[in-house]
Amino acid sequence: MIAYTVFLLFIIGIFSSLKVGVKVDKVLAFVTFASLFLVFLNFCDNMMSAIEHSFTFEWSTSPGRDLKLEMLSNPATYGLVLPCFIITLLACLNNLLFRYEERRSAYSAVLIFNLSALIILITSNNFVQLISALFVVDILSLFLIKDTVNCQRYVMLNMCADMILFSVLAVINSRVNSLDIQEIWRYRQIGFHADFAALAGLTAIFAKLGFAVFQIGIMPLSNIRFHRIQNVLFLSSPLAALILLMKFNGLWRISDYFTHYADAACFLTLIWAFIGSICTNNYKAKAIYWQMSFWSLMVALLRFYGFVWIPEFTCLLVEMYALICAVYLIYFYNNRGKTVTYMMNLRLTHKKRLISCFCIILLSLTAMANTLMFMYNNVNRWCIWTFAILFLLSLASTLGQIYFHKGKRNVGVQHNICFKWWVLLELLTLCGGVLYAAQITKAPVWGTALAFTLLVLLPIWHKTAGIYEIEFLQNNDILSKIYKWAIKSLRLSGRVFWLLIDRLFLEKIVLETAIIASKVSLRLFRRLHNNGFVGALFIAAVLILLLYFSAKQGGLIHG
Amino acid sequence: MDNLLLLLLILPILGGLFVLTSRKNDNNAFHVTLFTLSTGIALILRLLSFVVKTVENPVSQYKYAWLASAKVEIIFGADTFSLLMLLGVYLSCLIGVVGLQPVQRKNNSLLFLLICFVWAISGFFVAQDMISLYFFFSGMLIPLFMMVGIFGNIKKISTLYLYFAVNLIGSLLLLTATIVIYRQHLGNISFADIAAIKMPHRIAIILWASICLAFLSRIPIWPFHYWLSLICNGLKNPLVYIATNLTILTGIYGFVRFWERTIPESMEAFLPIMETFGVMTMLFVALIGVSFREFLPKLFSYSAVYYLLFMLVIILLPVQYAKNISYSLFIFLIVNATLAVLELWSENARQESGCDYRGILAYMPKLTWIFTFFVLVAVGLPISSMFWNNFILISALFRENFTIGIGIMTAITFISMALVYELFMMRNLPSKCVPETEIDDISDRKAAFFTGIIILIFLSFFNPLWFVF
Repeated sequence: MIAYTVFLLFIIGIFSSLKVGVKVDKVLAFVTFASLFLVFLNFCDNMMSAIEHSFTFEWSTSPGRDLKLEMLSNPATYGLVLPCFIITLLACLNNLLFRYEERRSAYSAVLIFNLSALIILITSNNFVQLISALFVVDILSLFLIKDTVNCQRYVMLNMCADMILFSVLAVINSRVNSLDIQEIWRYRQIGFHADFAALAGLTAIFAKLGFAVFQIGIMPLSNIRFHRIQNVLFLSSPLAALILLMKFNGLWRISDYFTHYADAACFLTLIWAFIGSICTNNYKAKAIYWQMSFWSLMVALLRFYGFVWIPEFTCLLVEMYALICAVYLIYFYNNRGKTVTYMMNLRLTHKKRLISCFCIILLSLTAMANTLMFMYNNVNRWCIWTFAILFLLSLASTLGQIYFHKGKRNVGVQHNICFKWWVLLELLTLCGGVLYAAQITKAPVWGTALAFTLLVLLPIWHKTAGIYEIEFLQNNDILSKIYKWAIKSLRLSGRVFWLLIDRLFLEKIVLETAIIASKVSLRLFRRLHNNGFVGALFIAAVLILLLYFSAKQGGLIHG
Repeated sequence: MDNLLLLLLILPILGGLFVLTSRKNDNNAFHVTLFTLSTGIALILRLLSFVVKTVENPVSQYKYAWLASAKVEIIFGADTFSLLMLLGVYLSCLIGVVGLQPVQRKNNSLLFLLICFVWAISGFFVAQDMISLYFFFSGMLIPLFMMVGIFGNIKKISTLYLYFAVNLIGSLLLLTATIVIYRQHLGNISFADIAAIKMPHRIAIILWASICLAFLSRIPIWPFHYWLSLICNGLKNPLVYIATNLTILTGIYGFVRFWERTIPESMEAFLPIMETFGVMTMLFVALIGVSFREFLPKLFSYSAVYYLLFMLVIILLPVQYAKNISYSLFIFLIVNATLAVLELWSENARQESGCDYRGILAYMPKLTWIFTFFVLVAVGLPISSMFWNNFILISALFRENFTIGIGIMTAITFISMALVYELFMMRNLPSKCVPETEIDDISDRKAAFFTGIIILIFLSFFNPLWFVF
């Protein structure tokens, strides 16, 4: 049962977050991983048994409505939890094998809590539980990033997206008067501001996925540690957004614009990611762009499959994770060089290690091609071809530049990096396992592998590396400028409003007029008082007028 | 239970007497104030447990025939809403007292005025008739004016005059309404019976317009937000800031008491004007909040936006949402008070160390954790009952009027982003921020106190009244 799994995960998470010394920390991280693996086995056992179960817990009673924590265990939820579990397990293993973090066990704890939140999100059946889990995933992403400066835009964008989703859910709830997600069909019938709900919600999802234009939130993450980027992109807000995309698929379809909007967003993201990955010299930024193009492919494929999660999607996710792990290994064996320019040359660096990394990339790509071949007949072929060509070109150009172009790096400052056999073994097993399970027989799959190898070997990439020398391209981030401009214009409009309405109109015109009027009336009354006879006549006239009106109206109270 | 209600009103008077007679330049008055507020909280919790478990509103009414010939009967009573508001007020004041600097703690006059203010506001929340409502509504202004005037460090005297003038006009309007009602009914009257009074249409309009304007003068709706913001943004004393902010609550509470059962049809024509003004002010104040560069003005904008949200909810939604409003308001009061105290602490630390505003929190890890939690609660993340109740209220607002719902959500998004942005600014550590002296983080005692508040807030996510046994 999934509820039982979540309970176990909570216990492991709490255990793992204990504050211990440096020596004990490694042991604790290992114990955490081992426990997580055991829970995973238990989860797989339950999944195989395909027991359907529903766990309900009355969470909060409120005058508006009772709130329940529901966790549905059925094949659909198991299928969706599986990739999250596998990737979390791999992330914890990598956290154990590499010295990524000062406190490995605490970081593993964050990953485990994040997994629990994702499971709650997947199994939820009501709006409040869903959005609560989403917020928890967003908060935990801050702990995964662990960098106040570089997560600012990511947080702001996600928060904005969360607020939009909150509004959309409130609009739906206002009509159907139910928190049940299944009740969206009733909203479809009622159709209250349906286009707004669908398109605003979809925009929020795209923002969380880091689609084109919204990558403004994830690009600053290129300044944080590589494994953190990897964990955030695979396990945090983007994955949560993908889950939401499936959960609310009934909502998006209300709008007639949905298909065009989704297609345009995916295509634009793919193109933008390709151009970005070719142009940028920052290796981590390239990895983010590759991930962007992958998410756009996932969204497009999901749309063709009617937002039903099939095992091939799990394979795709795991294969992409393995590929990015290999991309990380290249970075790791190149002394964590920030830019491609300073990472170059296979001949001067760890030849065997880099060739092993290439083999893993090749295996991952073969596995991905194989998975895509399974889907080939059910989806729009242009979608797969566009992704395949652009992705392979971008990856091949980068690898070609790193492996064969003359580098600028000072070889003398290389650190003594130990060879991570365990990691290579892990990735090789992973890719090999996927390939074995898929039973590759189709020629296009091997063709993809061959084409990719030939592409990398092409002696043209050193020429394209010249793009990295163009200062304008490297230093001019248009989207950052737009972001800063948006913040500035908001501030400016607030300031202008304040000056015009509060200071100028209210203080300088209304208040000043009131003050002047009171001064004038005071002076008038003082003059009347000093004037003797005329003043007395005036006051008497006013009193008579008052008496007259009072008598005519019959008094204020009894009128 | 009636006795408990009376005790709740007598307790601050006794506390005030002790504070007034305690030794100067000593922490005696501070301890008495803490004791008074804590005992008050215990009393309110006892009353709440009685109210929640027994019957519906209002329970435990206390009647006192003051002037039999003039038919002036004073009625006190309390229901869940008023008791939760009272609890919020007491907790906010307690947080403010804990947030005082060591020198300020020895200031007997400040503490005495605070207790007087707490007494008046307690009376306001338990008042069930027009005359006592007016008495406490106006009475709370005396200690407030003295606190703001003497301890507020407001540099611009004209601002103070304006603030006082607006509040006085509000009080006079309520006095007019009280006199008109007294004249119509030929005696004092409880709120529950006001709807039964028959009066001419013209008089009804004058009466309800006076009442609405009296309460609106306390709420930061345009143009009243201006003097309130001028006052609040200039205050450097956490206790005075909290007290000033709590007066807004009295305006909101006034609407709750009158609108829910007594507002006549004659006022319905003015409803769209109030709605439009409310939403426009929310957007306007949120934008102003974004434009400011420091946390305290943003916090005031945040509180103004939320108070206006509650006002709109009260005037637009039916009575059945009163409990949701009270749960949300209760958490909001605590969060608002805590953030003000924490911000003024960090401001104090900044001034003492000569450090830049940016990055000040990076030197104070304990304060940062607490600060971050409260900012996250403030922006409406699911870590308090505010999230779930706001969801219900905003859903209902969307049902009533989609455009208003969108306007409100835009304002809330703007101000929430402004708060989070400022939190980042306070946590970012620029290279030039090097403190001249070492910055002290908050003490373990204070950290424990605020951890208690965090637990209170977090558990409310599961049950808004978990503390009522």
